[in-house]
Amino acid sequence: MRNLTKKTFLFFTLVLGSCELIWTEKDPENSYENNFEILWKTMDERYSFFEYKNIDWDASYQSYKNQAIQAKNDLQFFDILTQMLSELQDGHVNLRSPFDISRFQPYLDSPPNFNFDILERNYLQNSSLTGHLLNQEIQGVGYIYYRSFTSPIANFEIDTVINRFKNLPGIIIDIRNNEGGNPANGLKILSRIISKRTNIYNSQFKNGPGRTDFTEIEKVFLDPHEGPTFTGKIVVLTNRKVYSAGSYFSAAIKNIDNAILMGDDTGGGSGVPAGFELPNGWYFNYSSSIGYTAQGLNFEFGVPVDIKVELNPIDLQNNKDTILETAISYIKN
Amino acid sequence: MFRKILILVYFLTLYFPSIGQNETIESFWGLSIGLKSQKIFDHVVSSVWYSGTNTYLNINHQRYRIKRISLFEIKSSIGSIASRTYEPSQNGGRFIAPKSSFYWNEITYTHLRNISKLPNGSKIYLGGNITHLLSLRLNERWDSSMINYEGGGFLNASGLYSTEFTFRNKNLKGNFLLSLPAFGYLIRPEYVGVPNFINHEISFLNGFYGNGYFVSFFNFPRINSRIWIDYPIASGNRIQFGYEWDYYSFQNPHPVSATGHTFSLNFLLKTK
Repeated sequence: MRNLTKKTFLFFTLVLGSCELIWTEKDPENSYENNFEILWKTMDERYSFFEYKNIDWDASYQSYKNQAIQAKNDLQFFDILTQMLSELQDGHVNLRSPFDISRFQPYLDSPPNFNFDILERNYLQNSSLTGHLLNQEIQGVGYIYYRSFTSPIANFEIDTVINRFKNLPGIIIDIRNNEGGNPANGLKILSRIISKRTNIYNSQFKNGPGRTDFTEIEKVFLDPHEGPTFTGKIVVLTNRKVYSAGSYFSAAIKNIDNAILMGDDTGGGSGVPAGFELPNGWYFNYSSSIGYTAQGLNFEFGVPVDIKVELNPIDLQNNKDTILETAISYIKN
Repeated sequence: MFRKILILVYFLTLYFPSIGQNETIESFWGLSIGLKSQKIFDHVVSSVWYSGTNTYLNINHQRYRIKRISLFEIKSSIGSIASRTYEPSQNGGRFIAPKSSFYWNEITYTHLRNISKLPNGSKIYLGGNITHLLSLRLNERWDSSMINYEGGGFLNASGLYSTEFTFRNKNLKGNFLLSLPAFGYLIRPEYVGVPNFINHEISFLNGFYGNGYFVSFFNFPRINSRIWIDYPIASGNRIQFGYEWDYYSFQNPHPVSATGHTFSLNFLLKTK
């Protein structure tokens, strides 16, 4: 009897321990061909802008597959995949390997329209640094420079700045070169410059493998802050390097009555980046949604400014920021 | 279909527990520690398996009557899992290594009723258990889909085979428990694995539990089996040496599979 019991337990233990070998699949083969196939197919089923950008992704497969399979080493393989992904023209598409990260930088084709040295040396000598918000009154107008939406803003900090400028006719919010981060940081500023519940932007997410498989367009609303708010004029300064959460912030400005965008159009980036990883350990991100302004504009390629202003080369030589000067004049007049 | 589900719920949770109320009771509080080896494949964010062995903790209450057994357990495992391409030397820079934080928790109540005593003295119990599962992986390399999970509540059918034997003059009890899901509610990330943080008015928890599926054994095959040996020690207390194997799989919207092997040592303090 004792032997029977021992055998029973030994049997169960061995059977259970080996069951997963029957039911679970192995890791996919780590070959150039397989890595290429998985990257291409994942993008094919999940990327959100094929239709909007009129991209023939099947043609990309034909163009790059043989090159990828015949790559002589990882560096060459990485470059071929990068070339294929660059056809998507998307700053939210990056391939990441231990030795390189692919990037799409369309702002390099546009003038920078921003020089922080000129700002710092000629306009911000008496500035306060309230958290990550560099701020100062310039020629009777409030000025805030916010470098990155990855930098958190505490409620106390933004309230302090709003209170500092509450008696001024307007505030300039400078987000030039702000490449994005967490949109929630932008909401803290936005909630203090609106006076009623506002439709700030809309979005829809990919929800299936088909080109048109998306959720319904969802309107996103924001309520005014219950503490200090600002009811004067708002001018938000942007350039082509403003991206992602920076574009979401700019998109919201388009639907706020007393606020305008000035400078150059933003760089876009309306798709929320999701991630996936390949059998070789590299990983990539891709746009998984579409963002719209409240008026229905897909701002993947940028949020257009209300008043276009570029840095004047002569002003630059005289250490003047043309865009900032124009914004000050706009508020004062 | 709904009627069948109601009948199943009745038998698993109401009928079996209601039989035989006047039996002697022996109950224990237990603290179990061990190691859980976990392997997970989730095609929402990865084309490869992640695996790792982490510490395991289980707080449990066990109640034994002549005809019935009930077990309440809070089981957890916290640590990390990594893919086979993980290279520690690549970690710490801009390239985020394929190693993710891992949190697993399961709260289970099992109720079993003795239905048969075999000629060799072994007993067979049948019943069910209710369980809440959460398996959570966090890794920044998955960008906005960095929170990856499956979880939910399930009603399972369970069977226990229990037999007594002696080892070095000690009367030991061996147990084999098998649980299979009858039905439940499984939560998973959305198609692209990204929570809708663009809409700040959707709370994290609402988003977390928002994408769910009604499941049964046919679309959520889960097998949970456990072997443990009861070893009596002083004052009626016990030690249990256990091994648990768990497997589940779900295919929507992308395949996810997980297996786990747990080796544990459970210290039981007799309370009644």
